[in-house]
Amino acid sequence: MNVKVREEGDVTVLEISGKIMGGPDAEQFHGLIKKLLADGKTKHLVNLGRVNWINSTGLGILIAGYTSVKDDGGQFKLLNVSERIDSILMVTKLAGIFDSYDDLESALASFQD
Amino acid sequence: MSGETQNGTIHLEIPSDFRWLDVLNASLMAVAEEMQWNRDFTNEVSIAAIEAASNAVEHGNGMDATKRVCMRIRVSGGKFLLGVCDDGPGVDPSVLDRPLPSPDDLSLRGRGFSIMKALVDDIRFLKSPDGRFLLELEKALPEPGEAE
Repeated sequence: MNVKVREEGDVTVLEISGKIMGGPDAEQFHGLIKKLLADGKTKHLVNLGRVNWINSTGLGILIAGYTSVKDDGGQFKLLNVSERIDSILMVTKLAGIFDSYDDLESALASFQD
Repeated sequence: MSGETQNGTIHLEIPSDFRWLDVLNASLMAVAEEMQWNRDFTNEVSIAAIEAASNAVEHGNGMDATKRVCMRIRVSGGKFLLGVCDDGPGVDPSVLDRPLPSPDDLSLRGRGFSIMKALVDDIRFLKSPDGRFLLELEKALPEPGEAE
């Protein structure tokens, strides 16, 4: 899993590519989220458009990110959820937990102050 | 197209590293194309297979790349069969009886077998001929022309 971070106004966009599979990915992503929150960045948009696949452990990584940001009073949303990832979210009944968008403009507009 | 994996079973063996799961996925995509599986069926088989194989890499072999995960793909008798074996102690079969965590329960783990159970028809815990733990997934093939 590779993560690139960029800013779109006051929203932090996390561009993930590769596979979200657990192992070292979990520590890497969790550490990044904690650092962003410590820096006062509480609006997180996770772009999954270049993620090949995710497994249940990878799903746990996203859940951990969502929980950390939410507990800090922030917002954690998903962008470009593939059919494959959507299938996993549906099967695990977590589709309703994550706010997800198909285009960047709509996603950015959805963040509230 | 025969509807079966000609000459029997496709065998794969990879080091216990997530990077090599591409080999399994590419093989499944090749089988799907050859068998003309529809997109939904291909997606379901692929998700369940990656879940099973990543379990073997992470939990069975502890991500020790010197240990091997072996996989066998077979399409026969109207069924897709995937076997995944590792060097771990195996899985308590009662894991299949555990309910899926509720949407309000944001536990980080505990969904792997629920995902597999939802996507295939049967999950079996066996021993391979060399005594290693073998997880077998079975899913009936879609009827020809079955809508996606």
